[in-house]
Amino acid sequence: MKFQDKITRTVKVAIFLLSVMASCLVLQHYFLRNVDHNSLRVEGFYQEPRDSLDAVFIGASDIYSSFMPGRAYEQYGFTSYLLASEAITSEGIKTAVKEVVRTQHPGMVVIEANAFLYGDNDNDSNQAHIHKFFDNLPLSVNKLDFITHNVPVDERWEYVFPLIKYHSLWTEYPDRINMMASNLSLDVRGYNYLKGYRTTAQIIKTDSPCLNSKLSEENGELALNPNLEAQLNDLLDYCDQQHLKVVFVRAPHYVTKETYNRVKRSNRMARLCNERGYHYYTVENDAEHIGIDPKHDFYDRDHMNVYGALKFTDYLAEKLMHREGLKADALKEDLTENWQDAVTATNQLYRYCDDLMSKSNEARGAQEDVVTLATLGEYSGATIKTK
Amino acid sequence: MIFPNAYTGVKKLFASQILHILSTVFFFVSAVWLAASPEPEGDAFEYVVWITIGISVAGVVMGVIAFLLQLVGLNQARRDERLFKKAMYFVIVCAACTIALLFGNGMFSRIASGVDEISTLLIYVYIFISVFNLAEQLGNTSVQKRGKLALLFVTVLFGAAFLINIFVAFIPEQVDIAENLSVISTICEFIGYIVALLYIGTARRMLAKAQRGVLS
Repeated sequence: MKFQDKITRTVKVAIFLLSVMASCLVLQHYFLRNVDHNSLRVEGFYQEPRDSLDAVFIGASDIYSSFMPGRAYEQYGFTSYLLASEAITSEGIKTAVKEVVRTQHPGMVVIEANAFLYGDNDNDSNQAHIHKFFDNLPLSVNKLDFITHNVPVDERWEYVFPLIKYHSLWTEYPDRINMMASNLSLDVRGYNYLKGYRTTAQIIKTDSPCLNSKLSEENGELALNPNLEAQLNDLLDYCDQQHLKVVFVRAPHYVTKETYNRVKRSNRMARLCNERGYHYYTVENDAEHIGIDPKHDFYDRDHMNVYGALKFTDYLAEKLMHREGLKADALKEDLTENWQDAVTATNQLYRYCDDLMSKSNEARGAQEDVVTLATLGEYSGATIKTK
Repeated sequence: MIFPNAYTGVKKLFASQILHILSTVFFFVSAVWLAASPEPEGDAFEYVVWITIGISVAGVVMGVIAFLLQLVGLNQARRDERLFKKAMYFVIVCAACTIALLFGNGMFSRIASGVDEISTLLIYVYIFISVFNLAEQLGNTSVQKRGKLALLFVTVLFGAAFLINIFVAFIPEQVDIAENLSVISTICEFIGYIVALLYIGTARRMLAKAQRGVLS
């Protein structure tokens, strides 16, 4: 065979193999992927330019439904992002912190405590919750470290190539078309409007008596689950090692008799963190003092709606700036425009939810998807005045 | 056999390659200039911005002219050697990827960037094989030998740049290796362009001699 023919044949084989690889990547990223608000939030984090965030908030739904980065930027001038995922596990929190160190080096990392407050190990071993966060992380040494130490050998490839797990999702089209379009649109736009914020437009409907008024006087403690306490200590060791400025926070909840033990575990966690030199804001205990109305400001027992989130954001942002010394770095011109879009979208989302809640009390999710974003244009993006 | 079309085409490819290298140098200079400039304030800010825009625009204009010359050159050369046509396909793929990179981010841009790098390598592979074929027909074993060597160098250099770029995406940034590796990857690509320029120059001289041989 002639030299030229050998090269041509090699090139053809290489092109074929590369095309197969590229097709798998495209399928895995856009079509055969379990895209939900968690994916869009995590994806958006990696689109933020390196070292452009002043603070990163890590946690579960407790934080992504409570803190509005757009509002914090508008009122206090610091940039932030919610690297959070539904019912994130304690391993997820540790990996998220490592990813923040790898990509952003922010002035402050704020961790919502929820992942460490469960009474048992159920959340940490819940496969759906583990996949919801880790499937969306790009492959990195930190993800590989998690896989190597925590995933059984026969399931490891599913985490490296989620296509193996989700290849049968094609049967769910066209129902998934909106989320697929949201994913593509985020990729093309290059930044997340809501910076990870997600809410449900609803005012809580419950007959259970609320115990929030008792919390400011609650000093009782309950031991953390031993495994979760060990995870917390691991996390604190890592933060010590990296000299990270970390602040812990417990977001407000509609506390009932059934969930009261979590408050006591939160008090215990606050003491553990304080002993290690980390500040812990038990905002949950002071929710009533900062004006959070249990009958109006929650959409369910675990999450605040936009009314509560606005009050919480203003309160926490003020504490971070003035008590914790969080500094807002100057932004480049193009980033200023992106953040102005984030401010507008957050204010529009607030008014959209306010409008939905005033018309009916049917729960409707409001997040970074094409359907919600298309509706926001009908609402004003002007600053929300607090009463 | 004088291959007049190949000669005209390769001449344009040579010019295109020079412009391409100059365009890369201009972009590099504009990046270094911006990074090395002190904190811009007042008039100094305007000065920095205008110089950066000027250098970048010059780089873009050269890049566009290089692309058009490459396309026209390959189109002419393919009349004498069919494999030049395959290089043309990859020039178009590269242009599509560059446009996609302007509008895309995230995974979309990573895939486009990877396809762009591989296509650039394939353009050179097909140009080199085409020149190799012409040299074989002209009985020029020296150009054939150099062609094999150039092909090896370019494949190694662009292959290394591609692998480094994949690796950079995975390593922790805190180690500060990522930036150094990105510079190494750019240097590999740049040396690859120079090797390609040298070999296309050799091909141009070989084809020019063939023209003169007939004329005399």
